[in-house]
Amino acid sequence: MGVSLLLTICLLSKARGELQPQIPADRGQTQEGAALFALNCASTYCHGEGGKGGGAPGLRDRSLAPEDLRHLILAGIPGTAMPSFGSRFSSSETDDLVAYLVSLSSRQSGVNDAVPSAGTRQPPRESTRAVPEAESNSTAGPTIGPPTGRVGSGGALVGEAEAGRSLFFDSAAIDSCRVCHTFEGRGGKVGPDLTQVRAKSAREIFESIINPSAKIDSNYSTLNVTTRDGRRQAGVRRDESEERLRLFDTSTMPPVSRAIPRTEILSIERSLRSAMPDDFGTRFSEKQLLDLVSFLKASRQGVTLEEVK
Amino acid sequence: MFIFLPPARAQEPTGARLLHADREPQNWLTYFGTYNGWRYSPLNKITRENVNNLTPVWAFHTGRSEGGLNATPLVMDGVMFLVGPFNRVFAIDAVTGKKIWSYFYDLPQITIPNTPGTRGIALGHGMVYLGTLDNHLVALDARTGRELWDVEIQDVRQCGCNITSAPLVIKEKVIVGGTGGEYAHRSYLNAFDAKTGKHLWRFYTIPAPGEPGFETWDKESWRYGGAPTWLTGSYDPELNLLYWGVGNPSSDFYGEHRKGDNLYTNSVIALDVDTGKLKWYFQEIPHDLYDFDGAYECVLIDIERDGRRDKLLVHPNKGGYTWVLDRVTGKFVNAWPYVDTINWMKGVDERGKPRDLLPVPPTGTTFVCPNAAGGRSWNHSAYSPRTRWWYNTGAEWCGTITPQKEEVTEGARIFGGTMGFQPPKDKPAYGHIDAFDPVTGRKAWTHKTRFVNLGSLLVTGGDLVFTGDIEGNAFALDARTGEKLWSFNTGGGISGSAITYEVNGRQYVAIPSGNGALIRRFIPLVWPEAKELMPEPSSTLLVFALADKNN
Repeated sequence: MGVSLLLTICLLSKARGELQPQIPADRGQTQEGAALFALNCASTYCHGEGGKGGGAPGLRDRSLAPEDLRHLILAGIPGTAMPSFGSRFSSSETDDLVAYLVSLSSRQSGVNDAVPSAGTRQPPRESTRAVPEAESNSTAGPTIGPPTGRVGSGGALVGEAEAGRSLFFDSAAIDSCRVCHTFEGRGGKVGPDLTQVRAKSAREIFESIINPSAKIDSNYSTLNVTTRDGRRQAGVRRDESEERLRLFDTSTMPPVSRAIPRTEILSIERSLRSAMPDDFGTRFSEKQLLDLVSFLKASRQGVTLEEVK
Repeated sequence: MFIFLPPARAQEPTGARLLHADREPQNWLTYFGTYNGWRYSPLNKITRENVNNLTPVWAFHTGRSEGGLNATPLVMDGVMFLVGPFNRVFAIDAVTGKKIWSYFYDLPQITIPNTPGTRGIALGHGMVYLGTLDNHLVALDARTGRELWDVEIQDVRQCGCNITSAPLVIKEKVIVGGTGGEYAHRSYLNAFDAKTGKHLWRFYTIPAPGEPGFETWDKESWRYGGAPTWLTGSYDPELNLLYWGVGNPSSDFYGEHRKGDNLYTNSVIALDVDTGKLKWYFQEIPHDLYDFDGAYECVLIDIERDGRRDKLLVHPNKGGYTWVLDRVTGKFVNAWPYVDTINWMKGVDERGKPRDLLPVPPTGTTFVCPNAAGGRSWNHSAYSPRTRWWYNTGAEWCGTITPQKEEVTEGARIFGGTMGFQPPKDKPAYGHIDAFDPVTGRKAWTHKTRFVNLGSLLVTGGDLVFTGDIEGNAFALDARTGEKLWSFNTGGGISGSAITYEVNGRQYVAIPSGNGALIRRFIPLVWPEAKELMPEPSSTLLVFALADKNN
């Protein structure tokens, strides 16, 4: 894997000569940081063991400003292989890592030192880490709690949020929900971002899945474009510029973004039908639909059939 | 379907024209030049006798240089198509080097897996096809560079996968593979309608429950087991079979959670190009723990012997061995080493399976030769039907693997440990370029080099092998002897794939310059002096021709 070496070096070296390392040499903190570094950053593909010899920029022989380090760790470097660790590390862990990285900056790249190996590594200070519930599984979205889907006491169906998540993000299906919708930063941009849809009632969410044309967000309504040569193209507006309009053609999955030159467009009509397929009510079982609603509602106890009908 | 296609004249090349690319030696229409993966051009105006008169005629800078210029340029009827880092595509006058159009793909501000370099693009049906660093397939009007359609294969943030290799246009389809061997991802190969972008088929390189081969994965490991398709495949029109190399399982070095053979990792797969159905597979390394991808090129060679024609597939593996298969059936024919320093296996058995695989215990450090960068990097080999030799690079070097258990999260990086780089224990590290009999592995000649070589090879009808080194020298070897006949300092390390073409009767050689590959950072760990000798990353295409314009 690769990195944007120049960008990273540029950002890191911005502080050179301007700011000196200011993190006090807390040995315990540095050791914790070293352990975190070994686990998350020291792959040869990344910064290498002890911050040298990796594919990403070396972290020695330079003055590293704690503020810049903290920002880079938390935000990552968009456009490069450096990811954001903002959701992976707690604040105290980030402090530990910064302390370790600052301690590295005074070391020469040719000098070996004792970086804790996997075998001797101290576990992260889980006991001192207050993890907000939504953070603990952040790479896959908010934590919903243990699967609770089951047949309720009265024999009624109850949705399982985790099963709904699997259905939503199913990477084996060419047309799973994530192909068009984003949830918690992952997924397509054809339809609305559903991260905040939990504010709606379970019934509304259920209805919008099985009958998408009943209520359409006007930003995502279907456009019917007719061009000068008499051809028609339906789709959801992606974006437009002076030269062209781009539509998501949802007649095929994954949707295809098609660019239409403005000079070719004769007319654009807005349709009252949603571009979303209207057969989810039959494609999915009731249980699967409840799973999806439970996931989108972030419901711990699971949504029941009675709540949606 | 709604596509603003260019006029009929510009809708070339059609599938039929690509099928017979060998009849157009003046052009370089597909990634390997022809579907058989040879990287051979019959052009012969530049010869062993006059190559020392080769001189630069133009250069083209792509702008951003991170990732380097890894691409294979394409040439059709006097127009060159080139992709640079960060998915910048250019159409260039192949005689003057003057830009005709450019298209800069609008990359989102998100984490991009792998390096920002790209290995190539594809031509067909009046379009240029680009696989993007955020996992889209984009079709451009070849005449104007205007975007026609764009389809997201899967959100890069979910899969950790993207496209760094050239798509392959076959008939009415465009087929594209992806990365993902270092990410928790279940990889695949996709076929789209070349005109409309409609998805036609997907072949998962890891079988699902109920499919043959699923039993080779432990528990849930099949869901995130890698098996990427990160290089371009080959095609046999007579058999209508698509051949593709499949990469390593993830995590790379730690395999306790994925016990079993892990099909179809480190395999060659043969698919019916119309349906995407598996015809056969051959796995070279079961349960890989060395990151020895089987993703490299499939070279299709026919051998006449004993009155019959054997249709063979020659496949170099990253671990330093070349497998030779019957490409009709997938049956094993032979396997032989293309480097000398190999300690992870002791040859193959009668079925072509490695004997006495070197264990990589989940704790501790294991010394492995070659190292995880491979006996060779991805940069391609070449085959000449004139000499009937297969030209390949190799490196004598070693390294260490230290596995480490890592949590598996879909789309997240998962190396499962770290790797080190060292010289062999009994000799200095070095590189070489060789000519082999592709079936027996008998070495015809070897050209020793100071460092590992990262440039693809090109062999021509003038019996010349063109490539370059990490110090920035483009050079030509005598394809019959290995003797260096010409060299030119391009100012940037060579890690791309040279081509040759002809316009108005003049033969040109285009050599990408600029090495921004990840492996660049590892080289000084084995050759400390290389740190100063390797130029900084850059991205420039240099084009050469004989000084005498009449040639």
